[in-house]
Amino acid sequence: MSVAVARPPSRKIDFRYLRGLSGGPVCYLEMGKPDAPPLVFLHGFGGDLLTWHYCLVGFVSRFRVIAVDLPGHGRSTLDVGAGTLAEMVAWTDATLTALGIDGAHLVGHSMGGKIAIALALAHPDRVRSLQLISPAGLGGPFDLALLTRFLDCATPETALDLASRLVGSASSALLGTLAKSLVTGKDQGPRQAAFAALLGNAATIGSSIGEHGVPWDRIACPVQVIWGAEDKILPLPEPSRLPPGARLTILPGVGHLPQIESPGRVVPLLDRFLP
Amino acid sequence: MIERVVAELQRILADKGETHGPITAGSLLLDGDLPIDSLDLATLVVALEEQTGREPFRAGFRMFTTVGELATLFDEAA
Amino acid sequence: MSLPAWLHPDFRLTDDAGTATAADLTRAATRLADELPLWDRAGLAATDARAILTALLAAEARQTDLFLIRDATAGAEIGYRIEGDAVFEVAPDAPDGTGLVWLQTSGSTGRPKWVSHPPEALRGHIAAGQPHARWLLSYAAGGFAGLQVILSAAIGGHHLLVPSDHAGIGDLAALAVKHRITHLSGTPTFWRAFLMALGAETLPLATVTLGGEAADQALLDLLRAKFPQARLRHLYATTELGTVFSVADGRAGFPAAWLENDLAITEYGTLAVRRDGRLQDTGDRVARVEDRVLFRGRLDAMVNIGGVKIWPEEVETHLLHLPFLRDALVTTKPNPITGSILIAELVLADPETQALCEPLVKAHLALLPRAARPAMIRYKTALPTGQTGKKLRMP
Repeated sequence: MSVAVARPPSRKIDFRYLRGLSGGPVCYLEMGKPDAPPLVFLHGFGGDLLTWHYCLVGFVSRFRVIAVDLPGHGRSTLDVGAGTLAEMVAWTDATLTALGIDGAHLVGHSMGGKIAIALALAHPDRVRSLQLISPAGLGGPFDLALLTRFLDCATPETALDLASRLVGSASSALLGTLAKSLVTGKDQGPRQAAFAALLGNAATIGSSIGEHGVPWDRIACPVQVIWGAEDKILPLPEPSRLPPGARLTILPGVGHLPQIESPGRVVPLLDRFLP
Repeated sequence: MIERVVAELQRILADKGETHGPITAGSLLLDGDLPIDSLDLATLVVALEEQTGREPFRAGFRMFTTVGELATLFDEAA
Repeated sequence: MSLPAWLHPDFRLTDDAGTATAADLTRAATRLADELPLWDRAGLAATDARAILTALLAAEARQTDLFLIRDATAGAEIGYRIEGDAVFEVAPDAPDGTGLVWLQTSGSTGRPKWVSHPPEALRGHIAAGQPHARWLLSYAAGGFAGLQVILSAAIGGHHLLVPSDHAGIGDLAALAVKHRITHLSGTPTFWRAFLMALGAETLPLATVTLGGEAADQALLDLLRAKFPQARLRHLYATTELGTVFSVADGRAGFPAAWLENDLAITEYGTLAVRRDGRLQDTGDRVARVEDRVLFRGRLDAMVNIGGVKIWPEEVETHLLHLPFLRDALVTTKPNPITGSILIAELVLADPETQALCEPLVKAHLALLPRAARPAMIRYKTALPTGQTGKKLRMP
């Protein structure tokens, strides 16, 4: 006797999709109050929207919370074009429009931080506030070789080694689980091509926005910066590269992934900065 | 009871991202076509105990191999 | 006969009965010491901080062994009954009249037993510090941790606030805010609940102390964020050994460098402490990770799940990394197929977010090996705690 039963709802994460700029999919996660001010999270190179999954719930009572997979990452399109910053900004701008967003509070990590800064420069009306977690694009040193290792992180051993360079000394308990997520995130072929395009185009990841550093005077919205004291990939640059007058919080014992390593500290910092 | 067992099995399989064929009373729970192992089976039993409030294994293990046999054990445990 | 000199003249204690000064306590302790005949042993039902402090002073003056009784069934026949109506059987190897203070172990696993401390040893880890701090007692008064707080305040000349017996966590938070408490010590379970009860209120805390359970990094981070100006430390102590060490660097566990001194890791992976010339096994599992030694839970808490060895407290620590959980408890349940399985009980910071949090919890648990993932997750509004403020782990 075969029994026909309605499929029970899955307890998986509710990824949503829309059509992006080039026609490919944009994967995003949305929660909170649909009519509240939008709060948009942009992850970093090699990551995806789940980078933020420890942080999002804290904001659902006050905001329309959205985390997006950037091109080449997560479940979004693998088409990154030539991998330039301008293309990433245009893609993000179009995504906000497709989500029905005029202006949003942005939180950006690493490469996502650089995209957020560039968006604020190109479209000031889009960005109500800017919170940057170890953002790229300020100029100053970054470890390109380390980032390149994302391209061939095939075995648990290499994943563990990469993980140990990503996090700070206070986060040693996370190493095993982080390494596991690094290995499972690796696909061959098209994704590696997308990563290579983004990396190869230094303008997207490494070098500074603007010849002499970020022109912070052209950004009108409030800005806050958070950085791990032990960031080996993108160390804190010298003070002249930081937004003048902006609050800077340095987290001891934390590496390049503050929002994963220490959400208990990051979430209150983000929360108190928002209106 | 069979419907409950099937529904819970489907939920476990969906969580694992596994596809499967139709589940019948005669479906083997282990060593059959269903992509589940002993940990999944243990989870199934716990979920059914929680939902029904019954404990067919309180006095010790009792043998079952199919969906129907498991459902019967729960039906009999009042 | 004179009272011991460690009671600071500026000490004050406020409880339901009002405020007692050091002078008040001195008078009460002198009266008690005069009434105490030259008995070898005295017992006190250990619930009242004021009575305990009075008894500590009087018993030390008389060199009388003092038994702080929390659980009547563990038993102690006492020579002089200070409070309470029952007579108990004496612990057979109790020495006579050396002025020891006897505490019952917390009994979170198995039957409580008696452990003795010379009074000086009880005070050993306490430095006077600056007076006129305001302490709130969050522990049971008659346990080791509670005594440490009471003695710290008494020696330091501080003001100790003692909540009433029926005070809930909300009452403690309100009391702390009202009196602008500057020093607070509690178990990690207490702190998680206290942070929630405190909400947006602030406290001028100068020290934040944790003890009684392993402090996980997620909680230490939360406390650092909430009280950035406070000195944050967690203590490792057992009822048998007293305070073993204190860690103040904001990180969970302790520095691996300390393993060269009086600490060692046994062949079973447990922490051993060198005391009285020999290594004493604490039964607490630890693991060395780079420059740190982290706590992993009780050795005897291990369960076998489908042939895999799992320690439920490790799963708990992993869950507590999620900032939207207020607390988590992972216990085991017998299972006909795998022997045991894990059950997780979670308390959300905001119960309304349960539907959102469930898939995130599952995704986070997916980072663990399969056998370590709880087979059942229940969402609760609170977790049961025992007298000591620690989570109750026995079913």
